[in-house]
Amino acid sequence: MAQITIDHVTKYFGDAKGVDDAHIDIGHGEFFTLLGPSGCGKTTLLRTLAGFYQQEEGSIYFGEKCMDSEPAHKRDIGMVFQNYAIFPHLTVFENVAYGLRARKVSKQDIERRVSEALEVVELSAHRSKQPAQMSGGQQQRIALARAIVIHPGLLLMDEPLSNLDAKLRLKMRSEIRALQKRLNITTIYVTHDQEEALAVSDRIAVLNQGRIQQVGRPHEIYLNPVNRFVANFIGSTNFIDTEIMGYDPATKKANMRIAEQQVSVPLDRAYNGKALFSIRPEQLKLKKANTDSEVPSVVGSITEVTFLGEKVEYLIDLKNGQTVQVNDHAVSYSELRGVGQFAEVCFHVSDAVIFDEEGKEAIKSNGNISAAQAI
Amino acid sequence: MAISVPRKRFKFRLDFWTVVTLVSLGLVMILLVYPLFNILITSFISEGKWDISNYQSFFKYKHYYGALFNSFLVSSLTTLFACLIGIPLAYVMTRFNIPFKGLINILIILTLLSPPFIGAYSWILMMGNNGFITRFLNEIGIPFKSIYGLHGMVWAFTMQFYPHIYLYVSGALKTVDRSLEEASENLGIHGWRRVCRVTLPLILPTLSTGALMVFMASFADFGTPMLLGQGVKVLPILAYEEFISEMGTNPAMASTISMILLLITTSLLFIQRYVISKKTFGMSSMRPPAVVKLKRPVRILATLFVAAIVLTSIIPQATVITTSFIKTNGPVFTNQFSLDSYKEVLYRVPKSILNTFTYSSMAIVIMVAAGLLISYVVVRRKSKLTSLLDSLIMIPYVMPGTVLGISLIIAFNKPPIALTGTWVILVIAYVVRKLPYTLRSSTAILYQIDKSVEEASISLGVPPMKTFFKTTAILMLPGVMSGAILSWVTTINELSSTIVLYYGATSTITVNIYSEVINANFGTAAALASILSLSTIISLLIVNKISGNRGFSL
Repeated sequence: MAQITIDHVTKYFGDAKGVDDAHIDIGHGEFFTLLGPSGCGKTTLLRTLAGFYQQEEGSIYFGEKCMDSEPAHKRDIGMVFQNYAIFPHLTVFENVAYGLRARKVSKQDIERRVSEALEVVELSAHRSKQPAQMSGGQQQRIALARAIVIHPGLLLMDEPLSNLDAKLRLKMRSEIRALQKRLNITTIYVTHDQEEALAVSDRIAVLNQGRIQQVGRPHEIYLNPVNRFVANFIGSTNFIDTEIMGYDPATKKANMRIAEQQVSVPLDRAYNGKALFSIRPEQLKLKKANTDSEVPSVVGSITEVTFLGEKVEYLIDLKNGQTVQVNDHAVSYSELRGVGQFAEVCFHVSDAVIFDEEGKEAIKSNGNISAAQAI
Repeated sequence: MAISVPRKRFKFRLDFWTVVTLVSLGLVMILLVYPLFNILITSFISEGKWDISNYQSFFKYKHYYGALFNSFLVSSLTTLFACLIGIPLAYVMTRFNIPFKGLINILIILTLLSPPFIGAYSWILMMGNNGFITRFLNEIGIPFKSIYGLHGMVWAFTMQFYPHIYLYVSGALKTVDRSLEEASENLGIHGWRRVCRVTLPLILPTLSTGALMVFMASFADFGTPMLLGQGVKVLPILAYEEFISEMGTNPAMASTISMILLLITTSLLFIQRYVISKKTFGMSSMRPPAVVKLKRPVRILATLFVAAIVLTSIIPQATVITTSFIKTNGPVFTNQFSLDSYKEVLYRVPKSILNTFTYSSMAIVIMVAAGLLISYVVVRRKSKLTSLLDSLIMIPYVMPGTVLGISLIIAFNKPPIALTGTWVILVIAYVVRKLPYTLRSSTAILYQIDKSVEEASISLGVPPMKTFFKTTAILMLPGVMSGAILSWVTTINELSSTIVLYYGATSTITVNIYSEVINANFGTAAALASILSLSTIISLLIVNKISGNRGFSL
């Protein structure tokens, strides 16, 4: 049974839909992330769950219980805010004890539970300090301790790491992930940072313009995006204009013209006409002189080389006028290419996803997905 | 699967904040809008008929329009001189290493917050018909008759109100980013030309706000022109006299003059807002300008300049406090120290001392509560209703005290709400007059408090109303308090609406000072004024403590 059910929830702002018909089931102990660009509705959905907004359509269930008419303070939620929202007039200890006092927990229990929570976030030494004296990372830990100490049924986190510097962000995100698994608290996490989402989540919902585009595990969303938006938002990808012809219902295969090449591709459904071939820069390879020529390839010339140490990014102009990016692992000097050089770019059709012309729907999903399903 | 649920778009919930909004709106309607509406109507009625004859009379007789001219003349000259003093003072104080800056700042603020007419009264002591400065000037052959008249008003107002300019301009000067001036130097424009072409234009919007404050304050003031006028009239005096005249009251004319006063102050406010809306520059001061270390002789000169202004403007307070300890013989001061004046005021008018502090304290309690609650609905519950509430509450910002007093009396001198002659009407007048200031400072603080602090509290299980009192209210309190104490200071020193609204039993210190000065009992007047000055100083020290030297926001 799902722990949290978001049942076709729509939230209006005036006539605009902040969240449009969201439908998600979240399991117990799951780390679930709402991911999307700013204004996509992720925070709106989170705040609707918290009870700060009231949805106009649909219902929210915690377990069996309908939350629609439950005010925010009765929802038993721990929330971590983007700007921490620490009570500046209370000490670290009192900040963490705040929710327990509201629950009329006994004095000894408050002492014990707050001490435990502070220990978990490694702030025991700072318990009587004023929050204003503490760093951003420490304030974020106070906020985290304050949210988990009440043993909430649901933990909500609204871009909790976006105000921290890059190094601290990496450290905190693995700490949050570890803590969430240890305490087994059902968590809904909002972020616009796709790398962060991929790193911490059990499952991710990608949102755009109020609508959920795709729900899936991190590798599913990355490797097998369901539409052009998801493919483009998560990581970077090459979209190459292609044309699909001669779909054969018997073999479920068609011919694809990509640049100067003709390739046979398996399709999920019948399709003929223009299409978008989507493939990640690291799924493209620069053909080396001595490798076999079984895999399809397209040719072009190198227009830009960006050397990044662990990888080299090449921009290559194809003969049909399109530009693709290839991320190559440069192992030795001899493999480095220069601007103006001729390049043959090869790929595996099975790695790629093909979308219809508008990019609304995948007509060919990642060929390796059934294998990945086993992970 | 998808069940379409009807959209609940217009859900009305009668929660605590809705009640706050509705109650505040109701009170504002009764205590402010209704009285204003009343004088508007009254000004258009003469001999029981609707017409504009009151306005026609106003512009027909020199007695009336002359006062309008006088008011404009005095206020314009005051504003001009206040700028001429305030701008250089602010520049010198913010840019150069003048010693004792803290003390000088306190003295300047004290000057501003002293009761308006105490200045007038002290200048009379010094430069009246028989004042020692008058005699001295005459002895050395400078023809100076006395301070009575329009020139005296300009002098007294300038000396009291230049701190407005000083405070606004020095605030603005501190936010001019150093790089702008450096850029100008770099482009070859420096010295005086740099000040005129870069620095002054940048602070112009702020300067205009300060100038408006000076103009409004001198335009609306009652006490100073009353004491210094001696026959020369300005508009607030005229309104007062038409209302409380020995020939029988003329509320219609008083209302007409009130409407004209209100029209002028409101138009000025809008003109100023319009002008600065086109000229406001967003400046984020990353690097405030450095304080230049002057060379010794220049530094002494600059310090002398500052000291001359500040000491001259604080003379009235010093005079009042000194003379309160001198034995008097009728209106004449002797050379002996004595506490007789204090004994006499404690014996004769203990009630008014008590009244001043009781009424002002009641007003401050109401203002703090209203400031907290109303600023919350205005900032956090934005709606058409709350923004209406916000703009209505700001009306008294442009209402001269005399006008407010007259409007309250006309509205509440008969049933169903008869309040004339009670202390209630005074407290109402104080709250209505000062609430705009408290509300402004409260909303400014609230904007700085993160909304998510409240949401954090709510999500931790504390209901919304309790959350407000446990988090936001506590965080707002220091700021609201310091704003309210400053309002308290101006309330104990209030004369212009009190003089219209008081009755024998509800008279206050300021009313008594005024009547003692009129009756030439300068000793007792000085003692009463010293009590006010002392209270003002103590209050300022408290504010300074609360705001942790963050400075004053007036």
